[in-house]
Amino acid sequence: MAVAEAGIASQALAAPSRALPAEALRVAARDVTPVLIGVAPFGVAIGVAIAASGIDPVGGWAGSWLVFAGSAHLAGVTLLGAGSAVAAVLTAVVVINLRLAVYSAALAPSLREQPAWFRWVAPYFLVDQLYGLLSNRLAEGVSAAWVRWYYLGCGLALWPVWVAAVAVGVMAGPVLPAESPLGFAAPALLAGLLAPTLVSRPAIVAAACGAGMAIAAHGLPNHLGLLAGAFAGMAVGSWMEQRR
Amino acid sequence: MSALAVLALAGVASYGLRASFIAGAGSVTMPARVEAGLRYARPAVIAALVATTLARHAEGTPLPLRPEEVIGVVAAGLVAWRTRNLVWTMVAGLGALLASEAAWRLVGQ
Repeated sequence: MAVAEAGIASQALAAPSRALPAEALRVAARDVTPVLIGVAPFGVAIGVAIAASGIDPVGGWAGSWLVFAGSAHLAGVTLLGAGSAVAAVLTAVVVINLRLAVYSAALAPSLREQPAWFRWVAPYFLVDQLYGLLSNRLAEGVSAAWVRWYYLGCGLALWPVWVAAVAVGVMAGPVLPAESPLGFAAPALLAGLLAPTLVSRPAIVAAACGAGMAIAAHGLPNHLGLLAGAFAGMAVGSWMEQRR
Repeated sequence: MSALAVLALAGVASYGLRASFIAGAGSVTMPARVEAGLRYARPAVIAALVATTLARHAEGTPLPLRPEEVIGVVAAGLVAWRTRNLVWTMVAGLGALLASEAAWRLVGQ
């Protein structure tokens, strides 16, 4: 009986390590599937915007795995298509992606136990959706190994779907009717990304100031109007938050 | 510089931002004030980008923005806010643009 109990106990102890990758990956697949359904049309729409922008389509598509961040990629492609200076494109991408540094700071304490290779590989896959999924699971107090498998499961599912979706858009763009308002795809998509961020009064004022300043300063060279709008909006938004 | 090269640089910069705390000094946390300021980066930059794109489309017209495009962008924003669905957002934005362009032509005739 004692032997049988010991056997059961050892099985129970061994089970988590054997089941770990499978269980973490199964949870990752369940969590990430709705996200994949959500991001795929966005990727296709960015591909269409690349096709309409007039830049090298292969170079534009490569941004899907080089930048691996939809809004920054779309901003970069839109500015490249308008003939902006390299510095303006890079600044826009960095400013839009600054939030990824915020995610990095938020996740760093939870990932401190991870092996070095993982802490170098993981940042590549860090996007809004993965941050959201992982934050929810970290709140459940899961082990470091579980986090590693879960993170890689989500990241390696997101990556091919995203890259393929942008490719589909790039290939579909030229096939669409010539009179379709493709040039409007990028601003419509950006407006769709903007709306969910307008969750507070400072955020709404930041967006309004950003847009107003960008229009007022549109005549400046090298799309400096964009950056003037961006920084004016950020400054006013954070000033309003501190005042409250 | 080619689009590929610029996007490669953008990719390196983006990786740097992502890795800054995870791969680097994991014990350092971002100052609260900086974090507060960054919360408004996304709405400010995206709104400025939409405005810049629309202003560029309106170059050579008497107004700073084309009213049909403003209607399209507002429709896209409202649908995104209500549904959080990018497919419906695009359909609404492009549909409103085409409808207002058609209405504009009718009024003009």
